[in-house]
Amino acid sequence: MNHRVWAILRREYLERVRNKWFLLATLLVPLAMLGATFLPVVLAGQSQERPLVVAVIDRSGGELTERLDAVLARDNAEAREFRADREIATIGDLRDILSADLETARTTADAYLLFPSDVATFGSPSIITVADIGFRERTLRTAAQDAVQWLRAREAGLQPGAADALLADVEVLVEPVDPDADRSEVFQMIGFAFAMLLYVMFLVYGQMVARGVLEEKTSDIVEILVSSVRPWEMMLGKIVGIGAVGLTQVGIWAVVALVLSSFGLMGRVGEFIGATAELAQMAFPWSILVFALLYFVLGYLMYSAVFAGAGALLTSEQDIQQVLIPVMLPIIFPILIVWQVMDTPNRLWIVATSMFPLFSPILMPVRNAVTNVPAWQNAVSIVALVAAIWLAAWIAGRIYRVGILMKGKRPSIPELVRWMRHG
Amino acid sequence: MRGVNKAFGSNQAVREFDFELPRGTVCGLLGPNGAGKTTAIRIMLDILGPDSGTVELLGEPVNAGVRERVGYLPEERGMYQKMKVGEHLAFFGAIKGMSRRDAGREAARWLERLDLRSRANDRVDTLSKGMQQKVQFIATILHQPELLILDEPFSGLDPINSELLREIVVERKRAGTTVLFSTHLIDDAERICDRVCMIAGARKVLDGTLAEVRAASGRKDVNVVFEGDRGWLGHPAVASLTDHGRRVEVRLAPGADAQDLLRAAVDAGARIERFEIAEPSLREIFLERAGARGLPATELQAAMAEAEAS
Repeated sequence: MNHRVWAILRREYLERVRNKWFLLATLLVPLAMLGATFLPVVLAGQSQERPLVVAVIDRSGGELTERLDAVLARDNAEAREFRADREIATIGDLRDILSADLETARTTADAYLLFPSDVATFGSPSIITVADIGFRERTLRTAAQDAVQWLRAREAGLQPGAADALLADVEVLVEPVDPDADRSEVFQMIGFAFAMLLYVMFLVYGQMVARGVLEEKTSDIVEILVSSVRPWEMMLGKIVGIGAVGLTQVGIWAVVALVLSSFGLMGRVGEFIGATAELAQMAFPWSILVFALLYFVLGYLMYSAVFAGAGALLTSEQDIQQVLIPVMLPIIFPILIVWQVMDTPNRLWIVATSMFPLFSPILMPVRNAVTNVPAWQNAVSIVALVAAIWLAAWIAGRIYRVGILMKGKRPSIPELVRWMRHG
Repeated sequence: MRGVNKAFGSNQAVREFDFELPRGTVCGLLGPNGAGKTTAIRIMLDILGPDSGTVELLGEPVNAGVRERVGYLPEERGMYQKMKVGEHLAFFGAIKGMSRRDAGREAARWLERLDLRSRANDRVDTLSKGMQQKVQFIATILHQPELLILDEPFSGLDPINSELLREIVVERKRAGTTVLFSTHLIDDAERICDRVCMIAGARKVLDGTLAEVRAASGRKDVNVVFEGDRGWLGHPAVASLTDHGRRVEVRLAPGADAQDLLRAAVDAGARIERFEIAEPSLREIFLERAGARGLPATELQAAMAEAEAS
């Protein structure tokens, strides 16, 4: 790297790092991420403070309220008998009574559960909610099912103890033969976080490169630069300088994450998603972080070369969307299939797609997180990616060389092809 | 530059361009708008590759080393609006291979000289247009280039500042710098140039020292104030004349000697009060040559004049 590239790199880097927006974005992103992680924990904690109250109308005469209450007690909920002024035979009756005086209905309970008289044979229980009970509806339904099954078991002649045993929760343990091959949900989350982070970084920093090129064109500074600096030197300095800004940002986030984890915050997150034990047991595979960083650097080099070439085609702000959208597609596509990749990371088409250089910078880190990717796949995709960087830089460099001095009209595709051939 | 051609699509911007600039001279590049001046400069600097022909700068094919010994101020002057003036200059110095310390020292010296010292830590976009132009001028000469190429360097400046920049150009020349600047202000060329080169219609139409160019114009006017015989005005040396009675403006025929005419007048017995040979000003030559390119009828004349001159 000669002194010209170095001077440009330094300028690009300092201009952006000193910008107050850089500081703001660097601080706000981790805050937003922390918020997104902790808000549900806090909210869930709050809503669990108040027990869920279910009013029960049991027409079967089978002591279902008691059974229900016992089951619900485990989930911070309770069941009470509901006594109405008039007889409730059907769900229609219940609805009439509740809607007649909704205020009272709401103060009495969150939901009303009717066990019809034939529930021991074919009848089904019904629930009417009068408050927003959210995801706890599932708790309620499971408990009602349990109560009915318990009643039916007894009707079939089982002793109460035998019925309890029959309905007791059966935990099924699933373990992969190779714990590395199929990792737990924690790694799904890590993989997904990688995908989103890489996606955002590639888009943000790629566009920064394109805009930087456009800015130099519209401000005519390019004319002075090209008399001293070769276009490839300009392009290289710009790409590496802006990339260094990205690495600085990632570095700051890494430090923040380390500090936070030393305060034990990560442990609480782990607790929330129910994976503390697993995290504690398993040595964290640092290799997935190293791979993510490597693919970030290589992917950035490839995408930003293309963005620089596209930026040289721009002649005004209005062009940006039109020209950049095709360039952004290879970055967007992996996000569209990231769920499939996380679900079945080793299916043939996913392996092939993830190793394709246009998509590998986002998909390979995901696969490395969720599964044990064979070494040859990483090796092949990295070699292919490096080749793609070379190709992208070659094409973009030729377009860049002509494009940066172009004004007025945007070139047509045939013109572009000519630039590449003769450039 | 030898035999340089450059076309953009069907538009031939520079045609068969030969140009050589002796070291240590100041040369004005003249020509009407759209004549191909900027394109010629861009080709010299290898910003554009010529379709055919060869280019050498400071005696070498254009390469990174040579570029560092050249300072170029384009007509479209961009600046990084958000950078501080001092940093801006340091950046351009660094690109030309100066150390940060040297660039900083030189920048401070020039800012002082151009009355901008107090603005070194201000952002470029807080400067007026004229101030920005001065900063760009500094960026061009900061690394003490051996060759300065300036595209319309004085346009848009107030008289005091443009005078200051002219002074600096002349000063650089005395220090041995070769200067090429394009301008449409002929007075500039006449005042500070040793040589001029004129482009019109993508071709070079004139090239040489001021004296050579005047002589080669093949045109001389004689203003005569006299009394007496008028018959000598029919002398073959007279191509045309404008008769004001006592005063006559004579356009001499190409190649004719004014002395022959004077002798004829005296022989004819005219009382000569004044006999003045008026060399055409650069402006007249410029208009004549530039205009000729636009008008087919006079192009022939210009071509003839060129043929006779050579």
